[in-house]
Amino acid sequence: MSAPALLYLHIPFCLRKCAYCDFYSESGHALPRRIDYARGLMRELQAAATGWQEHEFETMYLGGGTPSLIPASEIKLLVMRARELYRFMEQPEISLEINPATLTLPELYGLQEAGVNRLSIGVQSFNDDELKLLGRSHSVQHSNQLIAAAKEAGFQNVNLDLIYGLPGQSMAAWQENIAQAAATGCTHISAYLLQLDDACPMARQVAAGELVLPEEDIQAEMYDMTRLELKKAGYAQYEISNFALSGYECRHNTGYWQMKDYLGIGAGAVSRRAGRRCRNPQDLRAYSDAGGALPAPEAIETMDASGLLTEAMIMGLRMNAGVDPAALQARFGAELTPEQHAGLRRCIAAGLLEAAGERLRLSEQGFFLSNQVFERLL
Amino acid sequence: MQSNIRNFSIIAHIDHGKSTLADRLMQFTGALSEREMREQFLDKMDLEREKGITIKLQPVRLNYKARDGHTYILNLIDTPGHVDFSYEVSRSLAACEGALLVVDASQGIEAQTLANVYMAMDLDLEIIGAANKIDLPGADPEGVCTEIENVLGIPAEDVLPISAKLGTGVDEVLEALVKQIPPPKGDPELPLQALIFDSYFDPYKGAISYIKVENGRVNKGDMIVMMSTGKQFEVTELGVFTPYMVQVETLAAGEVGYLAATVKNVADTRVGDTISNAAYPAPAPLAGYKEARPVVFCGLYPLENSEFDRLREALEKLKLNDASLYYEPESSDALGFGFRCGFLGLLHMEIVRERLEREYDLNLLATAPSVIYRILLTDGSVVMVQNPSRWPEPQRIEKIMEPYVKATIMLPSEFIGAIMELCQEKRGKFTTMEYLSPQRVMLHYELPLGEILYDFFDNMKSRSKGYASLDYELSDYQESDLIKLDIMLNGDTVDALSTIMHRDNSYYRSRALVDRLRRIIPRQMYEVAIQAAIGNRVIARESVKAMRKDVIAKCYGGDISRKKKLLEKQKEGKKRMKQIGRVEVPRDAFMSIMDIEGDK
Repeated sequence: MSAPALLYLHIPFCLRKCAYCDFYSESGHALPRRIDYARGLMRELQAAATGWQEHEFETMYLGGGTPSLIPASEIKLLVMRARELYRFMEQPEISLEINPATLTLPELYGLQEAGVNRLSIGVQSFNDDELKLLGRSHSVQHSNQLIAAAKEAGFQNVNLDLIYGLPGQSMAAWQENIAQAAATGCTHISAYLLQLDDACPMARQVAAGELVLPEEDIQAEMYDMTRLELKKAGYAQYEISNFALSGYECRHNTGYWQMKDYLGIGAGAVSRRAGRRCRNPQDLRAYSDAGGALPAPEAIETMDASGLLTEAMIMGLRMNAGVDPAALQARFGAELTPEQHAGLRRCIAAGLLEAAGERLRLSEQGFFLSNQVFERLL
Repeated sequence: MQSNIRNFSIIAHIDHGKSTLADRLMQFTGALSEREMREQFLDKMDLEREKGITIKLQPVRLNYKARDGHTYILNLIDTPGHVDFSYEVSRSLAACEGALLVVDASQGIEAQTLANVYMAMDLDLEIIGAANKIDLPGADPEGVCTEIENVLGIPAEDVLPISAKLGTGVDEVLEALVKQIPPPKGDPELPLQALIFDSYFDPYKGAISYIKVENGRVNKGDMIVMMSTGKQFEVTELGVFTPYMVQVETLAAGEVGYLAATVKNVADTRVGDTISNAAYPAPAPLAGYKEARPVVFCGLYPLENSEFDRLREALEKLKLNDASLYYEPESSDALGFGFRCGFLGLLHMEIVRERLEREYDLNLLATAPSVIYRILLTDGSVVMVQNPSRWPEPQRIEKIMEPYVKATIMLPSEFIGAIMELCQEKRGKFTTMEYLSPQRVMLHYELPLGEILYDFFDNMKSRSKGYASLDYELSDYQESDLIKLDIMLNGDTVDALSTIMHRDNSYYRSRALVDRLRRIIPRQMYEVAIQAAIGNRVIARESVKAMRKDVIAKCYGGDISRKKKLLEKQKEGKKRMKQIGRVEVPRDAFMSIMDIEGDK
């Protein structure tokens, strides 16, 4: 049986950099440059294919950045080309991240036709003031238009990304956001706590005292409310920050948490195959230069069986389903260390973890304190 | 030739330009090429460069061709400028015949400088005055020269105006050193008497002693005797500092250099000891020094209990290089095994801790500093307590005495009010006040040493815009109404957090302390109750709420490595905490008792 795998295409363009983001992306590139980059992706898809013939791809995910800044026609070509070059299972999940105000209805039709069957919309907030604070270039109206257009174009499976814990955000303001998101009837909601990397502009404003993040207790209450409200609206939590109507869990991201191998294509994209993790150089220019050679990926981490087991435990425990430690030990051919066992026992005693038959999973209160568990596994 | 040797120190306050002047002297005499020159050359420790201060004296030998056509050997023995290190200053001065007093022309004489000049005068050293930084716009060379004349009796016209930074007047300094400082008096024909004025442990050469030969001579290969112990060793290496260590065959009366011998045990080269020749020993040792008495104590504990032995070895080695350091093993219920260490002051304490951590790669936890209290018990006996956790039961205490210092504060007259108020707050007793000039004043106070340990210095600096300077010496013990304040975490008393304070301050300080601990102790899985108590009576309480959030909200394929690093870093951070009962306490908490006033 061939190994399952995930395909990720990284598109590091943005209209402008958001205040809270430190992901690798660049803004201000003109359309021809973006098309050159799409051609670069094509070249790498082609070049990498021979190495991944043993794998059966279950999903394809075009993320960014703002993938929808690449013309729909190019995305269509990429999807079609990938499906020719790689072995995909029947009815793979093909996701595309899009931002409001970047696509029109005809383009959505085109993507649908190309085989994209899941959209992930970077709504972030249903409040224009909050969007401004985040440095987003769209408005709530743009979001609503795009959600409507996605439905009209026939997309059944749509995710909305939301962020909470913004500077100055009240519980009521966040509750309103959740209600709006649920009211759209979209199948999936990712609700992320705002966590600022030191490098981003907003972190500097917070450090300078210009912005004040909600206190820890408020953040925790916002999280609890998120879970409660979404549950009431029919969205089941299946990972720390992810909620879906039944059957609409994101297969691609679930694949990461289940430690499936993944191939990342594009500047700055990361791949992991067994214990070896590599990253392509974060160099858009080199990547887009049709004449030059594709920059070679650099190894960023090597894991032995025990390292893989540790990572699988940490990633797996992020999900509500938790992990089956015995099954993972068998799968990776390694044993949990006595320290790891002791750490897990302490977490159970502290009420962060709970045992359910063979499986181990985060308790209700364990989700928002999950680093306490993961630390003990490292 | 002995008559061409000049041994001298530089006396200056921190920041008055001593190290810069030393750099310039080396440059003018060609000891260092332009290429070798870097700032603060003689401050060898990283710590000294970072803090911009001199901790350890570092000798250097300069060859200077004077205007009279002769070439002189100038031995410069650099000195530390901070009050904690006056002991080191006295050692440097004992090896000299003269001292160069450097005063910042924009600041005036500081209290500590004055104390060191008096020390040099007591040792009959020739003093040369220099007003430095005359290039600064705010400089008042004439005012400073007058002040030097008024305070020290050095005629104002003899004080040299210089700028060490620009090199102005440095040649005049060199001429004055040659002309005014007498050559060393010793007799090379007498039996050997060499003073050890410093020593340190070199991993390759063993114990290295810095010596000044007072009488006689010492040769490589000689058998020498340490006069305090009678132990004999063979000299394996002799040398001078150019400032690099350069080997020589012999050192004769008046010369300064280093000596390595077959010394196995670092304790056998005691600073202040006299070295003589084993075959022709001198009839008596040199005067040596008074042992430096530590006045500030704290517990030093390894964060990992298994590192206790490494800490002991490190202290042994450091002691060789720092004779004033005192230590003895102790144990704490909360912290395990460690050492109670004695220091000359807070800066000394901070530096020892940092040196132990950097040079010996140790992770240490320091408890709050304490002075030595003298307690008369009801049974008539007297105990000396330097560790708050050894404080007797209140019902056994008849009378408590605490150490007082005679403090001298020099300051511009406009700040008199503010500084007198501060001294009052710190339970000071006013003695006298002298006007040095219409603008400059010298205040004399008696102050409890324990108060100076808290935040006196920082407060003095902030209330005088940085212009006031402090010097103090221990005077006597005086009766005080002191109490022991205990800190409880989740109901358990943490002995290492106990502290002694005046009853009148206890309410305010305990509240400030628990509040500070609340902010220092991170949220944990459980709520942590912090209480401050005198005996069984709780007088302040706070709590650290249970942790509600410790999560990575977003974790996908692209950045797992980064997120794992984040978790690892967080885990590392925990290793720098001390587990006390169920509570993880950051090591800074133990020192936090010191800074509470800063939070006002």
